[in-house]
Amino acid sequence: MMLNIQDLHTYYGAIEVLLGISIEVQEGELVCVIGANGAGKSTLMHSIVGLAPQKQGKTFFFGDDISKLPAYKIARSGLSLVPEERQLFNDLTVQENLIMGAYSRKKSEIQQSFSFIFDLFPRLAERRQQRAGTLSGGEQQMLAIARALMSQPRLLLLDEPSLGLAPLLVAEIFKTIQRLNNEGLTILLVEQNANMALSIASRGYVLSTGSVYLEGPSDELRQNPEVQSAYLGGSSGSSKW
Amino acid sequence: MMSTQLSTILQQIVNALTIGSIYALLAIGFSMVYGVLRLINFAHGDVFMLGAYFAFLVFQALESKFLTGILLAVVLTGITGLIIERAAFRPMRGAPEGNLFISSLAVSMLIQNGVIMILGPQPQSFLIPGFLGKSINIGDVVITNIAITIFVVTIILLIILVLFLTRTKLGISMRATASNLDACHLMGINVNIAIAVAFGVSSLIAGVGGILWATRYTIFNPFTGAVPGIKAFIGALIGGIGSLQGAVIGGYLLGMLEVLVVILLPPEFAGYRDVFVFLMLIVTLLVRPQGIMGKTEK
Repeated sequence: MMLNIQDLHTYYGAIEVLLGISIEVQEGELVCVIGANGAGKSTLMHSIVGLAPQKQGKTFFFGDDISKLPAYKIARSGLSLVPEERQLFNDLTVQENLIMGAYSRKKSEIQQSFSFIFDLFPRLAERRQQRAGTLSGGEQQMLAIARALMSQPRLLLLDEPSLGLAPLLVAEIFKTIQRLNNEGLTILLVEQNANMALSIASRGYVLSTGSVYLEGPSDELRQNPEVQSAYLGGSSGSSKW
Repeated sequence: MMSTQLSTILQQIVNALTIGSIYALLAIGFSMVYGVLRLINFAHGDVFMLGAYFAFLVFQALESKFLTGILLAVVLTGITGLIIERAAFRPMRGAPEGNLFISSLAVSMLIQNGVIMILGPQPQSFLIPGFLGKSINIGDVVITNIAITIFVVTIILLIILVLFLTRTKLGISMRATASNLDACHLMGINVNIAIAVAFGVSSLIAGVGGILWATRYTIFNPFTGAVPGIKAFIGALIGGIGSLQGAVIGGYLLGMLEVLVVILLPPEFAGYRDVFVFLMLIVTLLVRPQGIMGKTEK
């Protein structure tokens, strides 16, 4: 088992935001976590990568306990997060953002990664020397994903990649995410856009006010009437969230 | 034969570039620390002064060649910066910016009074090599070797700094820290180290500035750093706080402003040139608070 989260409780001050979450991700899987705004999806991601200050419970990565590690050590052990709202280095160029993504690797080894990234996102190649802050929303999302990939992670975490993007771009991004998984990258995806998430993931968890409300194969979740009415916009299939 | 007016102007340009270089060096270090920590480092001028004092102590204690002694003094100043960061600012990581500023006030007083306690408040100086005392003449314009040295050293340092910040992983990570601290953790960057390096580099440059100052003005005392420290802040602000290009521009602009004031005003007012520096600060804050190179903060 690659990622094993056991009974995670996360607190922001006195407020308990995650009330005992248990999640598993096997190697090679594409797992999604869906839920409404405020359900705790981003908090979950932050807790996994070590950015949430107060928590209980254990997180295992390839059997190693990473619960108490500082964020930069978790990043170096092979978990890469694409944060909500991208969190790019806006004053740095596309190239420099990617160099930062590969920070934990030796300079001599990263040339191949550049080729891979620019093959995956040709638009970024065109904008190589441009400041990240001047890119369009879709390009920024691509760069955020590319930057996370530069560290050659064993597990890629995506926090709401569809946020703020036009539907066409969302489809393009999700196609890329699926391609990455097909090529062997294990992915944990957190999304408000339940439709898109369930369409590419093999398994899902439904988060509701800090707890796992449902879990199962994507197909099952998609057929589930509660999920349909709450997250899939009834039978019309367009997500309200 | 050069006219007297032209000579005066050229002479003042030399002066402006000389003093502007020192201000630029100071302003860069100031902006660098602000960029990574959002800290207005009140102690920056005192670290600048320490550069001169370390040189003085090194020459007292060792029989070293001038250049070796200077380099040692600069390194010592850089190390002092690392100690200050670790002791006074890292424990306050995440605190409101005001707290950091107050901490820097304390550091400033500590440094000044520490020097007084150990060496006394009297002015000090150190010997400089003979060739620095000479100058070259172009018509009526006198260009001292000190002025040339200051300018050349500054330009070289600026070039090295630019290369460091754009071509090395560590340098880029410093800019990344200034751009988005939270994202740095996700890159596997040990932010503590990146910030410490920024502080060390900032103090190193300040140390160079202090030694250049001492070479130019000969004597220094525990309070020598106070006014240049504030001018560094003003220069960095005018150029756009957080922007290193802005700091350079601001520093040289300040140098030019001071010199202009001396030229344009009757001689009785020459001593008031600092007033105009502060006036420039007020004007900037009123008209364009983000400075020349600054962007409006989100």
